[in-house]
Amino acid sequence: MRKQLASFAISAMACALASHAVNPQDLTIYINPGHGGHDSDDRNVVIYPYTQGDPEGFWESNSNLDKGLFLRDMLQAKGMTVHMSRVTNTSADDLNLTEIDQLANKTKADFFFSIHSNATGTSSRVNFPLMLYRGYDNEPVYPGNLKMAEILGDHLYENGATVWTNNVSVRGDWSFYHSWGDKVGLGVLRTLTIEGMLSEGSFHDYIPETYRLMNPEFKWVEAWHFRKAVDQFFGLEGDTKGIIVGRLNDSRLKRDANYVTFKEDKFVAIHKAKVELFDEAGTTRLAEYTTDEMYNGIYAFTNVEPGTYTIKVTQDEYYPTEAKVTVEADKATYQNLLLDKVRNTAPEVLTYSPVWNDGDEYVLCNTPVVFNFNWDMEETTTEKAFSITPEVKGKFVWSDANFTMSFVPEEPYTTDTEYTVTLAGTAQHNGGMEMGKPVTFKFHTSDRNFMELIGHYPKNGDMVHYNGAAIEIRLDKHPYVAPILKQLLVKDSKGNSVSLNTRNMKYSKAGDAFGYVRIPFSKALTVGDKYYVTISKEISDKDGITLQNTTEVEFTAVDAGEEKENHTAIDDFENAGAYSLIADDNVNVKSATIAADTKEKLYGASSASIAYQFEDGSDVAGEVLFGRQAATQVVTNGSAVVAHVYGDLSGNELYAQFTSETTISYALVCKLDFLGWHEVKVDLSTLEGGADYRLTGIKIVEVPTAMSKSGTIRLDDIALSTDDSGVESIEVATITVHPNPASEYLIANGDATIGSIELISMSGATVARCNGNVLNVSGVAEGTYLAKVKLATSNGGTVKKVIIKH
Amino acid sequence: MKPTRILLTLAAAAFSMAAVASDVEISSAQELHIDRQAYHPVLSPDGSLLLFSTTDHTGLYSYDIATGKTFTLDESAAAGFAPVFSQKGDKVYYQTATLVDGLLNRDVRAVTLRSGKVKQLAKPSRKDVELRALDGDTFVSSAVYHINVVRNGVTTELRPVADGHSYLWPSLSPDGTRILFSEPFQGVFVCNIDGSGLKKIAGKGDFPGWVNNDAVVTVSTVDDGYNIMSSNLNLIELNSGETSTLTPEEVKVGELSVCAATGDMVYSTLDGKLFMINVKINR
Repeated sequence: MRKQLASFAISAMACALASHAVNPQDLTIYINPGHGGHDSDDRNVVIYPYTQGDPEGFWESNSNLDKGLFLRDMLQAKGMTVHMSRVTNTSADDLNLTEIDQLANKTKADFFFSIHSNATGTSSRVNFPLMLYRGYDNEPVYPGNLKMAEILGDHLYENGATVWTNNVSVRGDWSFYHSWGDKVGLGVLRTLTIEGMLSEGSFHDYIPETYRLMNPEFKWVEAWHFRKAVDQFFGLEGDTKGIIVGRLNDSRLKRDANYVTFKEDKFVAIHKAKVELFDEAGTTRLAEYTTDEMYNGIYAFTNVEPGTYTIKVTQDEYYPTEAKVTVEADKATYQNLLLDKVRNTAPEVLTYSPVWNDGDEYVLCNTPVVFNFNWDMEETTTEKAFSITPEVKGKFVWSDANFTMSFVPEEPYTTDTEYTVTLAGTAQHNGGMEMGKPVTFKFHTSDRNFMELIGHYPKNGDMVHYNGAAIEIRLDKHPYVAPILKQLLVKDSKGNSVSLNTRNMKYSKAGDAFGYVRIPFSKALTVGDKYYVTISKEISDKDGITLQNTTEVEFTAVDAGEEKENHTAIDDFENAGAYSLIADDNVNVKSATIAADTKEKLYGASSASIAYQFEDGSDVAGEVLFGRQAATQVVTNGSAVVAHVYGDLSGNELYAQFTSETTISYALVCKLDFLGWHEVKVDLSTLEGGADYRLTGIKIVEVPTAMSKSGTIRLDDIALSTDDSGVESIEVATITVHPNPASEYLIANGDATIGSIELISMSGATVARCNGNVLNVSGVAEGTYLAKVKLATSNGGTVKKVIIKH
Repeated sequence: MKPTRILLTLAAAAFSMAAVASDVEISSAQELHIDRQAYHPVLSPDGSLLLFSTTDHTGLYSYDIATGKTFTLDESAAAGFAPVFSQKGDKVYYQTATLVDGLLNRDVRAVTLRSGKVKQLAKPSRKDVELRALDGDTFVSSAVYHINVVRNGVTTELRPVADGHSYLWPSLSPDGTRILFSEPFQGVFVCNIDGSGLKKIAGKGDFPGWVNNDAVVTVSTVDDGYNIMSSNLNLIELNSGETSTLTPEEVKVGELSVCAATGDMVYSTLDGKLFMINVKINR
C-alpha cells in the first residue's frame, strides 16, 4: 500500500526535477518561520543573562524569523517571488497551520520551507540538522520533498562554525512521527498541494548552539545555505562571491558551565575579539568584525570576492593570532581559531580544604581535597604534582574553568588517621608557568567511615505477603533520603522495575533511635513470583558517608493469609479485649497496649495490634506479657500450630504462653526479624509430652539491639493446622502409609524401621497410638486425621493426612 | 435581548454548548460513512452533494448525501484543493498540479457530475488561474491579497481591511448583499458587497460559512507549531455577537463547508471522518 501511494504521487508529479536551469524570476518560494509570538506554542530557552520569558532571550520564533527574513532577502535579490507566513513576531502573526497551508497553496509556490530549530525534549543533548518531508522514509509524497531535504541537509551540515554531534538526518514525517498515527505527520506539511519540507536546522536546547543562534550572522549563514539549496534544486547559478565564517575559542580555558558541551564547545568562547580581514599581504584592511558577548565567538564576513586573505584577531587578554584563508565563489570558508590567553604571573594556591589544626573536630572520612588557584591550571602537571600520605586512590575533578581542582577519594579515608597533602611546585597553569613553591597541609580523620546497614526487610530468601508489602532498611544513622529511589531498586523476575509508593514513604528523623526508610510497594505483588531488591552502597547519611557494600536480596511473594481447609483457630484475635497486660510478669516495660486493628488483618474483621516500648538504659532485656483466659482448643507438643504475625523488624522474639493443669510453658512463635504478614510454625517442643495445653497469653521478649526498644506487631489467627505445610517436616526416609482410607489397620512402611504411629485429630488430640508400624484404627471414629510416623532409629519420620472410613 | 432558549433535536445534548444563542436548533452530528479517509469537504449549492479529497488534496471525490454513494472524479495531485461548484451545481471546476522542468504547473479541469466526464479547460501552465463559477449573477473568490467580486461579468478587486492583507475563504451571504471572509492575521469579517461596512465578528477563525443572513460558522483552531491541539466549530450570530461552540471539546475539527440553503454543514475531523450537522435559527 505504501509503495502504491508513493508511485501514484510520483506519477502525479511526473516530471524530472530541474532538468535544466530556470529563470529565478519565474520561481515562487513560500517561507514559514515556525512558531511565533513568545506564547504557549513558542520555545523559550533560558540562557544567561536572561530569565525565563525575557523577550530579549532565546526564542525559537525569533531565530526562525531572522533566518526566514534573511532568506527572503537573498531570494528576492535573485528575482524570486517570496511569500512569508509572518514577518514580525506577535501572537497575531502566528498563523495556525491550516491558514499557513491555505496561503501557501493559494500562492502556488514552487517550494515551501518551514524553518525551525530542534530540541530533544529530554535531558540528553545533541546537535545535528534534521530534515523532515511529507511521506515515509525514502517514500516522499512528492519527489521534490525528499530531494530538497537531502540537498538542504547537506548544505546545512557544511556549517563548520558550529559543533555537530551527529550526522545530518533526513526523514519522512510519517515514519519519524509514526506514533502520531499512520500518514499523520507534521500538521504544517499535511495539506500542502505544493512541494515542501520542514527544516530543524540545529538543536536550540544544546546551549552552545543556543548562544550561536543569538548571533545574527550565524543565522544569516544558515539562510545562506538555504539559498544555496534553492539554487541547486532549481539549477540556478550561484553567487559570484563567497563568505568567511568562524568561531573563536580559548585554546585551554574551559567554559564555567553547568550545561553539556562537546568538542571545542568545551572551551570559552571569546568575547569582544576584533577580527580583521586583510588582503593576502596583510597590509590592507578590508573589513572588521567584533565578536559579541553572547558566549558564541562567532564572526563572519559576507560578500567576499574570491581570493586569498589574511585574518587577524586581537583581544586584550589573548595573544594576537592570524590565519590565511582562500575564498571561492558561492562557497563558505570556515576558519575557527583557538586563542592563547596571556597568563603572565605564576600560579598560586589561593585556598585549600580541608583546613585542620590540632584540636579541631576531626575531618569526615569522605571529605574531598580542594584547591582554588589564581589561574586556570594545566591538568596533567597539576594532577602529577598532587600527593597524599598515606596513599589514597581517588580521582581528580576540575571545575570553575580549571581554577578549582578537587581530589575525591574512591573509598573513604581510614578512620582516625592523619593524612598529609602536598601540591608540588611543578604544577603549571595553562600558560605553562610553574607554581614554584609547594603547598603542604595535614588533616586528621574521624572515627567513622562507613554507614552501617543494621537491618533490612525482606532478607534473602524471605517469603513476603503479597499485599501491603514494603521495603525497609535500617541504618546506624539517619539516611539522606532525597536520592533514595535511585538507591533502593526492585525488579521482578522478568527484570522489570517494580514501583514503590513514595507518597507513603516513611523515614527516620532526629530523635529516632536509628535511621530507617520504609517504602511500600505501589501495587500488590504477584503471589509465587520472585523479586530482587538492590540496596545500593550509594545510600548515605547527611554527611555523604555511604554503605560499604551493595546488598542484593531475593524474595518470593506469597499469600500468608491463604484460606486453609483444615485451619482450626485456637484464637482468631477478633477480640483483642480478651487480652490484658500482666504487669507482674513485665520486665523493663515503658508502655504496652493491645487493640483491635481493622485495617491490617488477614482474617475476619480485625487483628490484634500490640504496641510496646521497653525502657532505655537497662542492661536487662525487656519482656511484656498479655494474658487471656485459657483457649478452648487443646494442643500437645505434637500438635501442628501456625500463627499469623505482622512483624516489626525489631529482632525481638514472640512467644505463645500455653498452660496445662500443672505447667506454664512458652512456645517460640517467631523471631520478629521481618515486616508485614508471615505465617509461621509455632515450635511446641518445649511443651511436656502427653499433657494437654491451652493458649493463655502472648509474650514479647527483647533481644537487645538498636532496633529492639519499641515496635508494633499484629496477630491474626493462631490455629491448629492439618496441612502438611504447617507441620515441621522431619522426613528423612521414604515412608508410605496405607491403606488410605483405612478401616481396620493403618500400616506404615519405609526404608528404615518404623518406631511408632500416632493418630491425631484435627483438633490436635491424640486418638490412637502404637509402637511399631501397624495401628489398629477399627475403634476410631470416621474422619480425617494426621498419622504421625516416627522412625525407630532416629528422630526422622513424617506426617500424612489419612481418612478413616468404616 | 430575548431570554436564551435552547431547542435541541436528537442527541445534541452530547455537545458542549456553554452559551448557545437564542432560538437555535442544532441536530446531533451524524457521521457520513465513507469507505476511506475523507478531508476538505465542499457542499454543493443545494446541499445534495459533497466533494472531498485526501489530506494533501490528491484526488477529488464526490459523495451523494441521499444515497451514501461515493464516486471518484479525478485522482490527480492537488485536484481536491478548493474545487468550485458551478452555481447550478451540475459541474465542478478544479486544477491539478504537475511538474514541468522542475516547476509547478497547473491545468484547469471541469467535471460534469451527471456523467463523470472530465474536460481539460486549460493546459498546464504557470499562469495564475483563478477558478470562478460564472453561471450565476455574482461570484466572490480569494486572490490571496484581495477578494475578487464578479457581478454581471464585471470583476472588482476588494481590499476591505487594507492593502497588504490576506483574504481567505470569501463567501457571499444568501441574500447576495454581504461578504464573509477571514483575514488570517486579523480575524473574521463581514462587509458589504462593495467592501464598505467592514465589521470584525470574531478573532481567529477558519473556513467561515453562512448559515443564513444573520449567522455564520467558523472553525477556531489552536496548534503548537507542529500539530493541532484543539479545534472547535463555532456559531456566531451577527446581530447579537453571541458565539456558541457546536462541537464537543474532544472533537478536533479539520475543515468546514456550509450550505445556507439547507442549514447543513459538514466538517472533517483530523482522523479523516466527515460529520454533518443541521442548524436552524428560528426568527
